[in-house]
Amino acid sequence: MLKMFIESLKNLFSEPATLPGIGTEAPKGYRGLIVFNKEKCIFCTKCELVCPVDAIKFIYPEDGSRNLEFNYNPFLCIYCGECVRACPKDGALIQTNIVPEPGTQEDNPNEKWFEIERRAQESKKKWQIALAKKRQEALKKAKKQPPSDKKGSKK
Amino acid sequence: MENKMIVPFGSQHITLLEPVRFIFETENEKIVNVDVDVGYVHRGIEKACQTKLNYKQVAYIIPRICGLCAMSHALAYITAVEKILEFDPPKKAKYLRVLVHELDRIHSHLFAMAHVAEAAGYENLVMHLFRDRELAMECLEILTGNRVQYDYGCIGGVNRDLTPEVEKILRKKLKKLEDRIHWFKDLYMNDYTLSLRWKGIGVISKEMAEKYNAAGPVARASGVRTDARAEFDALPYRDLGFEMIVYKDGDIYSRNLVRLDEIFVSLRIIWNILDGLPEGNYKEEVKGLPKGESVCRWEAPRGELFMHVRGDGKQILTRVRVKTPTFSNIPVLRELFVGANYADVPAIITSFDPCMSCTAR
Amino acid sequence: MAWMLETIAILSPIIGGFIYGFERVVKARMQNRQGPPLLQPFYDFIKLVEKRAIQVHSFHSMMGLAFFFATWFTLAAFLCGPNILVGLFLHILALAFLIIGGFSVLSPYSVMGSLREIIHLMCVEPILILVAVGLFLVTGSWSVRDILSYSGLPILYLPLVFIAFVLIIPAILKKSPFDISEAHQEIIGGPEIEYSGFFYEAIYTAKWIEYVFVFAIVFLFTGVHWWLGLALSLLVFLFINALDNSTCRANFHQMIKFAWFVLLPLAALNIFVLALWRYVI
Repeated sequence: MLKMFIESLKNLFSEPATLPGIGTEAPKGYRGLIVFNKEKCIFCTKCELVCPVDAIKFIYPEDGSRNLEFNYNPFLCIYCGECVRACPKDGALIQTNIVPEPGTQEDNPNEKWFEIERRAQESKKKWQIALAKKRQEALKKAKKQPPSDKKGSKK
Repeated sequence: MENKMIVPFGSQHITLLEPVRFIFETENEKIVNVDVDVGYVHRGIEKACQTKLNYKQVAYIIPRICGLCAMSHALAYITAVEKILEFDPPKKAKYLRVLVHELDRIHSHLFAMAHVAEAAGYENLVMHLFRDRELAMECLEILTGNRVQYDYGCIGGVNRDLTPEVEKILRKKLKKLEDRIHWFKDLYMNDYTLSLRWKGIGVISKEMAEKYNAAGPVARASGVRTDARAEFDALPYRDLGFEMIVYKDGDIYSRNLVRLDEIFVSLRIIWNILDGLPEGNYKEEVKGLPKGESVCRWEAPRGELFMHVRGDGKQILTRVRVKTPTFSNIPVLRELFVGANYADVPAIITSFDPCMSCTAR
Repeated sequence: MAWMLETIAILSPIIGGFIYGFERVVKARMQNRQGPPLLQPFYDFIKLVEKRAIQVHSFHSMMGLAFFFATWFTLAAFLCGPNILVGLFLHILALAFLIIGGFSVLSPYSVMGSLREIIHLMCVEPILILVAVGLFLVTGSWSVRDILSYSGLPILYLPLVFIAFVLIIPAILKKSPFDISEAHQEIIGGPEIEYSGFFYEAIYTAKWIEYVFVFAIVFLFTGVHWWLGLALSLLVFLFINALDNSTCRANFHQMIKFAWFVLLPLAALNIFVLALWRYVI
């Protein structure tokens, strides 16, 4: 009791340990927001497969090509860093040390994301059909072409 | 005339850290009957681990059962799965796992001690303990990237390495923390009003603790020698100077002293690790899918944690089951309440250090 | 200077607000924290007046308002009236309003808090009465005006009574180690838990007036030397806050034992010896 009494009186005349108002910066290795660089991505979709909470969704284009659209939900993400470790290209996905902001009603986080999930699912089905059609057409073209060099060599 | 008063210590109360509901029947502030209700924080994590997530993703969801014993849950799961896959992680990874685990234990024990002091009405001690807990939190933030959920263990090792700059900062902060813990120990041993409030209150005798299967610092304060760290060898505790702390009295005062001495033991282990970290990889690739069943027994800050994992050769596991230490301590708690004063109830509950998010997953 | 006591009695909520705000900053600095701004009690007043008050029933709310007005009147009667004993008995009446208000609701926390408040009364009032008796024995008069113009130093004749009074101040102002009726970790606020909005503000302001009451009694111990009284008040203020920050809460058994078997005999001994010395020798 006496120890804490003296400590209280000492604390009265020294600087407080809490800071007024403004907070501190996050240190260098802090696991913050994920940032996507479109130029380096090869669209292998490994990050979507590995994410534990499905916070990354790709929307597939109509024509069967490989030009996907990347969508990331910072409110669903748990900032574990698995997507960064799973990415085969260096620099396509980076984890910065930006502390994520909380979402408000103006952001409309739920409705927007449900819309994106629905579009991603539908577009994936259409893309797979388009891709299958493309492959079939390429196979047909290869069959239609006469095997000219083969006949010539036999003679 | 019957003058029983029914006092709800309800799911929302200022002293309670976690939502649990007790309904007391008291006569003249002495308790005669108790009714317990847990299950307010059920989130369905075990079901999600069995249907939606594959076995690698579970390692990131399981530590989110609890905020204070996060590393214990994660390491118990990872050790269980590595046992099924028959994989032995590299030595450096094991030492780094122990480092973060012991830092986790330090900050959890400081949190628990601060809440017991708050229940006694001693606000100044709460502020001082939380100020010094910030030193441990800053160490964890620099090492793993986050203060509470570390995401540090993965199947095959750990996720980040210990660089020399980080080691220098860790040494400085932990030295300061050790001096402050010596000051606290002096205060706890010599304070007069704390001993009036805590000595002889909430006594659990050795036979009661063994009969009702108490776990963790609660059992160790009553004289029962049980600690899962002395009995398993998945992590090299015996080489690092681990020592079991046992006190005999079994009241609230001894439980605080057990936690304080365990912080000293953890600090000693951390100094040994920082002085003798082995060379090598910190992460290795693991091949194969889990097929089989295994059980892992671990020591969370609150007691003995039990993890049962079963897989069938597919990506998604068939059964994940967690048994938490607070669930084992509830029968003792109920037995202890009958006959106690109502004024001591908050101090007793917080000295048990309940973690309800673990209990009702 | 002539109307000083009346001015203090009328402006006592504002003076009490400043003392309470300063105390919060001192308490925070002792805990190595930043602390709220100095005018925080007045900001709380403005915020609470704007909130919607949910009433349990009208008798309960009336008791809250009665507690506030009775405390204000107690301070006025104590400072400006002819007899300080009447002021002390009015203090009991004001607390009785709070206790009856706490009993009139069905909430178990409120009822338990009122029971504990009665225990506080039992411990505090005998010592306050002995303080009044002691001051009469030294200065020969019961009214505050005459005590404040006594040219000696009453504290030199009443040292043990002063110590007993300073050690029972935590029980009047609800601070550690004797803050049993508002033990907010156990019964979340005691008899004041069911008040809300403007009625809670009434009880909150009544506590500020109690600060003025207590420090007025400390002032009385130094007679006409008001600068010594000011220094003594500041010392007592620092001591009470440091004691609050270095002890935990006691049981009510321990509080009664301490007040009746340690403090009361000390004060009674001092009065006994003083009366013998004055009137017999």
